[in-house]
Amino acid sequence: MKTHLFCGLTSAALISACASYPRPEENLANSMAAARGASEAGAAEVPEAQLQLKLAQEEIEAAKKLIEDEEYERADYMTLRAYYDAELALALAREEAAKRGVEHTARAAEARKSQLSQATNQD
Amino acid sequence: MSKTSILGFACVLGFGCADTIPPELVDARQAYARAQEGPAAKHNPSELHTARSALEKAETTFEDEGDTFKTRDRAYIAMRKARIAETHARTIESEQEAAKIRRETEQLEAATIDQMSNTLSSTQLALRSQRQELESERARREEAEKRAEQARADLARIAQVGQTERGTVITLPGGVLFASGKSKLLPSAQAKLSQVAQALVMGNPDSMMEVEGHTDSQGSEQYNQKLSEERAQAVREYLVSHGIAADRITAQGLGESRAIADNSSPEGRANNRRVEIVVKPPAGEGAQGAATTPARDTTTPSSRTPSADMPTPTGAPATGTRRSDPAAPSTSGGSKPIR
Repeated sequence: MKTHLFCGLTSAALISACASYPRPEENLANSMAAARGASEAGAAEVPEAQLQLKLAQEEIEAAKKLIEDEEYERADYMTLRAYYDAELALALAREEAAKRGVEHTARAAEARKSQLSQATNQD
Repeated sequence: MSKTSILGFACVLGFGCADTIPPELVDARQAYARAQEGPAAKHNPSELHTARSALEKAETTFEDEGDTFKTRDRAYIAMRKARIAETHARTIESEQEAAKIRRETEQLEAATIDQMSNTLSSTQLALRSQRQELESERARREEAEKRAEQARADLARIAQVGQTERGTVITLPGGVLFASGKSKLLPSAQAKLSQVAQALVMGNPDSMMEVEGHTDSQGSEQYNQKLSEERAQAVREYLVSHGIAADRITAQGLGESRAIADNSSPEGRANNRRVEIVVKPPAGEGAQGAATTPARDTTTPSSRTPSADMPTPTGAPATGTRRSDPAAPSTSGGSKPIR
């Protein structure tokens, strides 16, 4: 059996010597929240973002399985992978939205410009 | 620390030297190098720094442990962090671009509004001054008409005024102006005549006038002709000395030739003894303004000289200004004045 308490008190440098590792509940929760956030931001509609989100979701499942198998350290790292994959998915989704925003603004500006020049030419 | 020195160090210590670099770490190094060259350095350097730390941690892990799952996971995460920094930077750029475009549009709007408001102001100003001009023109015209009307009324009070096809005829009884058989103006007549002069100057300053002397049939034709001529001249002289332009007024004697009443009765003879002042209408306007032909010069005494100054054309008010308008007599009287 792995002793959690002992591992919680050791420094990171000695972690390889430690026999037990805390159950990564918080990191798992964070990674799931990140994946949800990316999904809500429309990552599924942006191809590259969708890829990253899929990776995150697979990693979350893998992490859950590793937790079941009590491979807590590996599970922890898996949740971190999932978290950053989800964050990248989110960033890519936002990038796409911003790009579309510029295009829209540019189009609207052109339309307004010609509207205004028409108005002044009428004088 | 550069990539080569990290590997060198690991090799010297005998750690991980034999291991090939895991692909995750290669990817992480590439990702960071690319992110560093991009806009992240400018827009979100703290995220870039975070990515660098993650890469260094992965390198250290590789150096310490070689190719373990931890090394690979840390490299994987470092790669994501670099890409996140890069992506955020591009997003910020897009947002800044959009903001710039919006600002430019706003500036254009403001400039357009300024321009249109200026145009509006100057248009309003022009309109206002035009209106003022029209108003003062209208007022001038009204004033001139009022004066003319006043003159006509004044004249009607002091003398008999009638309209004929020759023009306005002012009839002054001979007995009021002269003593019997004389051609020198009575003192009492002068007051009346000066009123007539005033009315004529005010009401018809540009019109041509003819003074005509008439007698009854008593006495010889020769005598009457001479007397009527002298009387007409006397009246003319008086009017000229009281403001009527000399080149606008002529005088002639018509003796007993134009009787207007029966000479067999005293009243008739009294009526025939008269002086008439004919005010000719301006060229182009017949009596009552009906005719379109220019004013007819039926009797043209030698004393009348054709003047370069023609009367004001149809439609224009009888203002105090004397205008040279050579177009007036030769063209049809219906021509409109140039505005």
